Amino acid sequence: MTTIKAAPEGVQEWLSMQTAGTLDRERIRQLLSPDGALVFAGRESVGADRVYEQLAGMPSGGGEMELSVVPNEDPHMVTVRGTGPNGAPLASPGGPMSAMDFVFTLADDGRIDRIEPHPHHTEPRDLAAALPVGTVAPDFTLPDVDGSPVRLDAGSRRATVVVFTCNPCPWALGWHDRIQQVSRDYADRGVQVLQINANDPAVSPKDAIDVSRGRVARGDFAGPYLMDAGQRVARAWGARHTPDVFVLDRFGMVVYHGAPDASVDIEDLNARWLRDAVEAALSGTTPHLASTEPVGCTIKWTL
Amino acid sequence: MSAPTIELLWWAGCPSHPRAKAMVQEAMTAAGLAPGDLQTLQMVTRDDAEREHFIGSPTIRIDGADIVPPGPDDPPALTCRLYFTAAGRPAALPDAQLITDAVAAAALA
Repeated sequence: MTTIKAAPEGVQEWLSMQTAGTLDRERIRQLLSPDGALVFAGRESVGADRVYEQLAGMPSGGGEMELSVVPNEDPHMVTVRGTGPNGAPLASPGGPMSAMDFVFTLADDGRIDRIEPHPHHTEPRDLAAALPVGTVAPDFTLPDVDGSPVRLDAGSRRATVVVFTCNPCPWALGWHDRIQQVSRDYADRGVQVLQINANDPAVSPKDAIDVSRGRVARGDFAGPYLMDAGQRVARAWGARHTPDVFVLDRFGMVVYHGAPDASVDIEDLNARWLRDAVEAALSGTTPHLASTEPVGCTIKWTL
Repeated sequence: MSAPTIELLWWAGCPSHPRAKAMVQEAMTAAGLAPGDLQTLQMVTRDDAEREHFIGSPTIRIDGADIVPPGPDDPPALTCRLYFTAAGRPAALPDAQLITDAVAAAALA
């Protein structure tokens, strides 16, 4: 990756206009080939006037983008990547982005033939906000690693724990034994612990079904390990991390959402927050901490 | 003697990179290197991961060599990297001592 100064001057000027929101129709006419096109969000505009109009309707970067050039062997192609300051996500109408790539195709005379901005979203559009404490969680039925359906049946349990987790994440693995111990410790008190893998194995190969099946066969799980292959449940529940913990009472109401305890590195914490929430659900009270910040890898979304 | 090239490759989907950056820069300072010379490289696409042979965030390279060489079954991926502590526990970061030793050795080479 090299600085934006490595890009052709016309590209630099174009991006300067676009990200600062200082569009100049005449300058666009000079920088663009006569049949130059902008392709974005399924719409193609050809010619300076139409490109100008489409650009004017697009959100600018607000001057917050850091620009760099992505390595590319084709001399007629230049890809410039915009990222947030220090890697912070970029806001967009379609949800947060880790980056926006602007792909320029250049004519022999150096003018711009084609511009295709490609957003790199971090989350799917239909990802809900995390289920708030006090709401009733939506039901689901998901297959376990052998394909047998398992239903969330909060009404038949005194409490239910739902943990979104996965196979390779260091946070999920670091907390894993503590969560299994909660499952064992509360099994005879009417508490069910359901663990769900929602990661797209095309993005995260170590979350493939055979890897999950192998972990279950080795006895890694103290309860059902469910596969949310279409991510329908994770999206509806607003899970974002592995692990991401929800505790439900016997009415299916969320009494806790967050991390298992305050630090993955301190085993002696023994999933304290999770245990406190389960105890609260069992006694029909409110946990001291009803909501904490989930910490871990992001779920590997199908985007 | 030229200073080693130290790189931190990271992906925004893991929350460990700010801590990794601090650990590497602390190691550089301790080794007499300028912490501002740390090169950071954000991975955004699968193409980035393949181009850089990036197997997870964070990855620390010194003069192009990963301080924790990846295994043969670690494919390039936009994911969080799994390390293990000296005691064998899963960890999101390499041991601080490992980073310190690797940077110190490179500074002396």
